[in-house]
Amino acid sequence: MEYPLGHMTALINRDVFAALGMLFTAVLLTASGLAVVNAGLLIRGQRASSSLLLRALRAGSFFIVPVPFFASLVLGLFVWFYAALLLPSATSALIHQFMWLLAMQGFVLIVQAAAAYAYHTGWRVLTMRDHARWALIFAASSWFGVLTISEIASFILTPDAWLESFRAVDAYINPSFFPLLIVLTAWGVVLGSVAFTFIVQCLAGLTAGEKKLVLAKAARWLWTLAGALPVVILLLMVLEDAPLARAAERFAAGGMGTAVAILFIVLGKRESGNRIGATGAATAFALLVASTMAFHSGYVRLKDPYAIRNYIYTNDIALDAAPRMRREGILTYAHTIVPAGIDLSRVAARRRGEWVFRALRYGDYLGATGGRLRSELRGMAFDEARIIIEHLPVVDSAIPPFIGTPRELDDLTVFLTSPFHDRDGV
Amino acid sequence: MTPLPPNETLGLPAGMSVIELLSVITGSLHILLFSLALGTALVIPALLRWERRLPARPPVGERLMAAYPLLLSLGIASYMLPALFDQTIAGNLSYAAAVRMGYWWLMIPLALAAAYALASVVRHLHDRGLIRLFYLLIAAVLVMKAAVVAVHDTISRSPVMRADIAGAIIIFATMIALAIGTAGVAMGLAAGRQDGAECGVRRGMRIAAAGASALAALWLLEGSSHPGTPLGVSWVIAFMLTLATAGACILGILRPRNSVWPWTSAVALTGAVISMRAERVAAGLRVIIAETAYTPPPLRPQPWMSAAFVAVLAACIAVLVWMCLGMRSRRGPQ
Repeated sequence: MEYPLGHMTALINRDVFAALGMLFTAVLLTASGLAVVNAGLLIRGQRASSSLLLRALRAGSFFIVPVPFFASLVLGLFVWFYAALLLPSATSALIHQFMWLLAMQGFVLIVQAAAAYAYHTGWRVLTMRDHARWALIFAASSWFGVLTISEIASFILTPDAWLESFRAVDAYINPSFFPLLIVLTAWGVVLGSVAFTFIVQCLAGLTAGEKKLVLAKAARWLWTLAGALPVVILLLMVLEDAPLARAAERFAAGGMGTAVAILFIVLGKRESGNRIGATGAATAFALLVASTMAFHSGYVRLKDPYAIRNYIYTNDIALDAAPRMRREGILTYAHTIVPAGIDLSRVAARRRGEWVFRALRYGDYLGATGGRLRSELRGMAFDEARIIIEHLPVVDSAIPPFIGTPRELDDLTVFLTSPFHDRDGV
Repeated sequence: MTPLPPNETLGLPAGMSVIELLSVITGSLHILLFSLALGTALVIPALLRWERRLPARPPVGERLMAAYPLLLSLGIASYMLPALFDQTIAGNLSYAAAVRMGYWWLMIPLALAAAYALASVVRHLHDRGLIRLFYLLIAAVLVMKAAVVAVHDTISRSPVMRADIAGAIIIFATMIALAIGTAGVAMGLAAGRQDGAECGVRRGMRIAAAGASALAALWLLEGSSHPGTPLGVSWVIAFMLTLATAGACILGILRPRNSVWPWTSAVALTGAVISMRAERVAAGLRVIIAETAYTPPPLRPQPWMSAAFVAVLAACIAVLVWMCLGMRSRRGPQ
């Protein structure tokens, strides 16, 4: 296949994909959180007849509603494009599994775009009630994006029962779906609250005193939302009996939520510029630490090879290949080896175990993983390519070792180095 | 290319024809919305110049400018659905669609930011030259998108999966003609809603007639330039409906007070786009299936999710209808 700008294999790799995925998640959560915070504050401002709060929301409307929405929309579709290039089989498989959900998301996006426009341009022409309704519609449609991403991400992480039954209900209601949805919703509200604070601080149409007053008026409401995050996370930790690594990540997130809560309390009680600056810096630091830990955790998950919870995205294998792999012993059920003292939920882990890739055979290289190798090995000398294929796990840790016969290895090498086979799915 | 046996569902498994239908409908929606966005961006600069010369005319240009961010947003947001359904049908072989999406998506934030910024400040801007410049910038971005789509359309339809530059130029011209025709029809409809707007209707219908005529000629050229590809019934219907659009536009020019003709041209053009989209979905699949013997993975039945989809779709339509009808009747400042 020929493209005007040539092949982009140099730009398509897992590191960029992981970073893009994490960036998109952060932007999506911030956008949805801002939408929720905006709707709540608008209704509060209308009920309390607070002209100052409404003026601030109107002044920041462009950066609260359209900008985050379009940033998340553009990034989301770009991540989809990137995934389709890097992991075509996996993306195709996910699209088949979640087609109806994604179709719903597509129509909700259209409503969201209409709501963003109606809200942003409706300050002069809409009645208060209609304006609040559009804000609520925008918030609900933004949250639907969080639901969609929670559904797909949780399925990638824990397909568990679906691997046995292949039933749609097991794919949708997987073990980590509800916890992930709750945590991401809470994270979104916290990130949205922080973003709202910074937007208000940057507004040009308000004096410094008015900005403090706006934040003071918003503080109690935002505090209730942001302060709920540590409670949610602690509750989930108790329910899920999480291991230490995840616990640390969640404690950090909880710490960030607490810091945001403190920020809003201080902003609400004090009107000192120094305090606002100091608390803002502390919040930013907590946000940085928590985000780094969360991003690192997500990055590792996206790059982690072998374990079945990630097999779709690390090995780019179609969902329908799983039963055959199990039959042939390529995909085996094994207990996770967890060093003592690190796992807080050893009982649960022993009971659950994990699906693990032991190796891939000739056919899998042709059909799935081999697609990525073809562009690298095409035209290479036979002996050199054969050595590379024999030592694939050393070359690329994300690829399981080849366990075919010597004859299969020769055939595979001929195929991968041939300049005539440049199409996937052959 | 090995001709496929006649099969209405193109050899797809049972159930996939629904997805095919959804792909046709949502793809047509996206094509219409995006053509409208592109055509409006091309037409607005000329319209503003005309309205400045004749200040007594109804301010159609300003109306279009006010609605432009919504138009562009809907044009972009509506892309997800056809991309989803196309990928469901074509599976991991829809690389061309993915690459196309990536190339032009990088340009879109620029157009969106310009549209929203303009909509926010346009009342305070008295320099019409600057506004025209902004719209030409937006149009340039969208024209680039059209060029990228044209090139990749030839790749995904070519048996050897290579770009055909001559074919791409024809498709590109087709997209521009469709955009101008769509914008002209919209302009005629918008002008027709005001009293004493015959001049606006006539001008819109003239633009639409020119666009539709060019579109019909280009579709004929495109159809005849691939002698190995049999033209389907959908193509013939699309061609006839495009001619009908041009005819309705000419009647609209002659009788601008009769509001039937702008609406007739809008319906005919919509039908033409849907029909041509159906032809293209079928043609694209025919190439993919014949060339690669690709069999898409079976789509397992998901009755609850299908029902949820219908419910969400109904809710979305209800919200959009409420937006169009309800807001008009309860309009009033805060």
